[in-house]
Amino acid sequence: MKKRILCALLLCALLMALSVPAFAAAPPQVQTVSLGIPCTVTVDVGKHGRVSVGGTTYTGASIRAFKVDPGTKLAFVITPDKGYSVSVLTLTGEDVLDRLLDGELDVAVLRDETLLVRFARDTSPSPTPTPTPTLTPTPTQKPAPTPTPAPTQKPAPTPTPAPTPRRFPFGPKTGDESAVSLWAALAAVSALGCAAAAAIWKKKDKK
Amino acid sequence: MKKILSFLLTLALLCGLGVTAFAEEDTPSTKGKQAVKATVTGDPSWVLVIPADQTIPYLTEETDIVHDDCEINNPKHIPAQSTINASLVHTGVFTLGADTSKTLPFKLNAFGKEVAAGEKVIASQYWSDTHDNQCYNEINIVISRSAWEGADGGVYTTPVTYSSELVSGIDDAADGAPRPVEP
Repeated sequence: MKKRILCALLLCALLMALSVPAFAAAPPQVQTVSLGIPCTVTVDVGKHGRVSVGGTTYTGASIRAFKVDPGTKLAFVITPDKGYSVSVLTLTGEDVLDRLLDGELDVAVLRDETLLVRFARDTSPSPTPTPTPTLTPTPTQKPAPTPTPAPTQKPAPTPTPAPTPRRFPFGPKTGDESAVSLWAALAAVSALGCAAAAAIWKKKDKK
Repeated sequence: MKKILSFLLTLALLCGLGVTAFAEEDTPSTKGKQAVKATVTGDPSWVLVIPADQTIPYLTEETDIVHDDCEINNPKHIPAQSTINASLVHTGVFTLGADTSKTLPFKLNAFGKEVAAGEKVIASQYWSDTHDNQCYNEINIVISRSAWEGADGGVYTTPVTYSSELVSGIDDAADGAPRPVEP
């Protein structure tokens, strides 16, 4: 019986092997002719920051364009002014804020592209909230930080709603603010369950 | 008996697997070209060699895309008084990558005349009486200056499709020139 099965399997494999040459890729009959047209890269920078690329820096409230050959790789260095951060970063309408790494955005230009950058006042709880725009070279900027886009934001003394520290006192600070005791209890229950299962298994083996 | 049968089947399996290792590869003699094997049912056979992919430099208005690189090689068992014609067809537009809405139009001129998109133009011929293979180089893609400057940035491509066929009778040369006389 086993030999019959083996023969049948070998016969099937033989038939499949014979059919492989028939599946060989057809030789190409198409010649591809290509051409490249220089791509226009437009940089639209908002106030309170600057963008540098290829040795050129574009400062706030400006729109500039330049041309590169398709396939060129560009590294945009985006630097917000002190007290500000990048709030909007799009590439030809596509949100690419998550691709910004250490203030740098890498782009392989394959078509006409428009980079739009906007900056907003940094709302993270810093101990010195005084806005000092001394880094901006443009003389038109006033030091008074008037209309920020979030009217509900105040320099509140309690910046986060979590009043008690929920991490181990000897551990590093992480972004996880959940109660550690709950996780410890869950781990204990899991360990008890595993021990019970092992004990039951041993009893069954003895029987 | 079963053991012998199993052994024979295994041997046949190994022989069958070995066939794919003999697949044809591009040889140095066809560098810059692409070999296309065209086997007609029955005895006649030949190998069609087409030009390699190429890139047109920016703002070039006229480019030869065949440049004598379309050949009919290794013709075998070709009937007397017959011709093998290798032809190409074009689409008339370059497209920007996957975005077919963005195009750059072009014209194809062969032997001084414009060839419409989809229309065949002979790029190479083989005659069985003289055993001569004539390759042509007067087939040009023409792109106007305004088309270059009006197109969006990016890499555009267009396919040029080659085919070959055996026809009875001795055809005239596609370029209208007198055929070489058999020595």
